[in-house]
Amino acid sequence: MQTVCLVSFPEKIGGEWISKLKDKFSCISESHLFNLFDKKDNIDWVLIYVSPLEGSSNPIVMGYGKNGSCFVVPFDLKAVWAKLSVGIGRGEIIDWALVNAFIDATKEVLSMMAGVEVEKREVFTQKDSKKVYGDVSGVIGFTGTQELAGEINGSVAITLPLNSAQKIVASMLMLEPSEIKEGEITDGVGELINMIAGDAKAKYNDNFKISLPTVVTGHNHTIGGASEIARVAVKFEDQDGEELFLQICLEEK
Amino acid sequence: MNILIVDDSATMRKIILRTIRQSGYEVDNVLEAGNGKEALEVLKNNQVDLVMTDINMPEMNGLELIEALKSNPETKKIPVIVISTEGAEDIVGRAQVLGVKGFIRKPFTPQKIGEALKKVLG
Repeated sequence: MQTVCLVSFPEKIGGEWISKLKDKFSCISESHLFNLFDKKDNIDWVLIYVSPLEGSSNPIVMGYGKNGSCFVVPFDLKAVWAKLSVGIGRGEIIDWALVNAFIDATKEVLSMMAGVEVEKREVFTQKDSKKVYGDVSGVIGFTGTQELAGEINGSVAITLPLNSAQKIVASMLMLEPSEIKEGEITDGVGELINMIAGDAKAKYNDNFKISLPTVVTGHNHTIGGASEIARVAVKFEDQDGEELFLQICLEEK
Repeated sequence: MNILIVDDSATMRKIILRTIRQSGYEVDNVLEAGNGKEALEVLKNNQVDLVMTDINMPEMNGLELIEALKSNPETKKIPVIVISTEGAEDIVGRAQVLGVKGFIRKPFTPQKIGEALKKVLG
């Protein structure tokens, strides 16, 4: 599993550079420079777009690999892709734009629908692990619909301890946690992941479709399919210091 | 006002009702359905002033429900507001062609619900 990060100087032209690459290829991740340091342990390649220097008419792209390899090519999409193809196959790349859409959607939905403010504390990849971090998971599948996202296929899950789930669902219904029954917790967590996936879909230009949500409960339960190729976990903490996790599982199309 | 709320999540149906009341609208009678098929059954025996429906539901989705409502002379004048995670152009466009009065994307604020209700109910 390899991850690519896109950076541009100056940052204001980043949108153009990223959109040009996205128009051409699937599964390209993106990041601004400040995000890069946050994620540096997870990145295998960094691609830096450099504006034309004085006396030169063409921009260049510099690529730096985690293994020490590097390249400099003219800003030509085919040239960049040829270099990337050496070490990275399509479908093996984590799309950080997608991950960020899910992260932002989680914060927004919890704030808007439950009045719960959460902060992202940690982002990490899980290799060969289906471990979850809680008692209740709301899971929903997604599939890319456009050429841009055609390689995207997988699921996203929110996992919480039972007491946190009870508290959040109670807030959604403006009730006390003690008034919430078990059935309402599972239904509420299902609706929570439905709204998170829907909001992420909006942030991702509606380039994927979502399924109906399901809810898995029980201590030490696992989630994920046999064809899973990558998993990113995001740890959040709410204002009371309680943790909840988002897991994005990417699968073979 | 008599209202039918159609959503496969009972929690969401409660949230929608709570939000309508927060927006300042009096609701005399609330009817609920978990999908389009159940909604049509409810409407056989009940008169409502407004239907608020989700799109993605099992058995019969929201677009199929709206199609059924608009093709029936007895129900075609009931105003419909969609509340859904869906927002893809083709789906919103289809709903508009079918004559929905409002399209609210989840997550929503009480303001969004209030504005949609004002447009339909005044």
